[in-house]
Amino acid sequence: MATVIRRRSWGRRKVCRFCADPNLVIDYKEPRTLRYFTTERGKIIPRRTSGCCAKHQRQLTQAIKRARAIALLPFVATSSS
Amino acid sequence: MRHYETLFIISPEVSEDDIDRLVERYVGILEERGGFVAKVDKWGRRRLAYEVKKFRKGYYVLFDYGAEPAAVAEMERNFKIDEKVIRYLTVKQDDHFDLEAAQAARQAAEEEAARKAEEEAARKAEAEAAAAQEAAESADSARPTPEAAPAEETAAEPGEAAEQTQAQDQAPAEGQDQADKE
Repeated sequence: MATVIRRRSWGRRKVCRFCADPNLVIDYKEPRTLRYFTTERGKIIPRRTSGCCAKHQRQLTQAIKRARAIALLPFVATSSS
Repeated sequence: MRHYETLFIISPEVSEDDIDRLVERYVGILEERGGFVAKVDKWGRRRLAYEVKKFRKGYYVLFDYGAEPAAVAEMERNFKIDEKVIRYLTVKQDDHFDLEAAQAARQAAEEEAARKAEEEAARKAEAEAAAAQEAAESADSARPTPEAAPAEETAAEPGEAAEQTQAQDQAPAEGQDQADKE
């Protein structure tokens, strides 16, 4: 029943982008791909919104945190950047 | 030997020559201690996502290498002392580093580069020889050889002219289309 309601409100179930496209790799050295999974404030987008599977969300989180450490991604972004 | 990857940022105030020297020094630190640097990738000057030591830009350099943990510790100790290095990050890629494969890859790359250089040299020599020959021919008979070079030119011209007329043909056609719509 719950799933029915959810489906009605969400439309279709999201698919993990990294499972769908094997060429897309998660790498902390590629901030461009990672940026897609952060909000404009620089926060990591949660799994329920990004639609990633658990495995890839874990890898993604790790990569984003590494990218932050080496100044490729911001910890907190202001609206200007 | 483990497979590591180190990305570090050099201060933007350091000149290109000094960067080269600095990078060589750190490669030296690793190789003195039995490491093998498979790849040095200079990303160049990039904007930082946030200020690091009051700098908004930095020169990124990536090392891909195999080394013992002690060698990595020594390099990182030097990073901490060195004021030109403003940030570093070392990531372990794998517990084992395939030294032979890396050496083979580097050798192959070097051979490839040498072969390319040779080919390039050969091509250049050939072109020079051809040019010299042409020059000699034209010098020999400056008057009655209008075939070689001029012939090429005349051959090229009609082609260009044809292209131009084609383009012109298309342009009016489009104009007509628009006129029709209107």
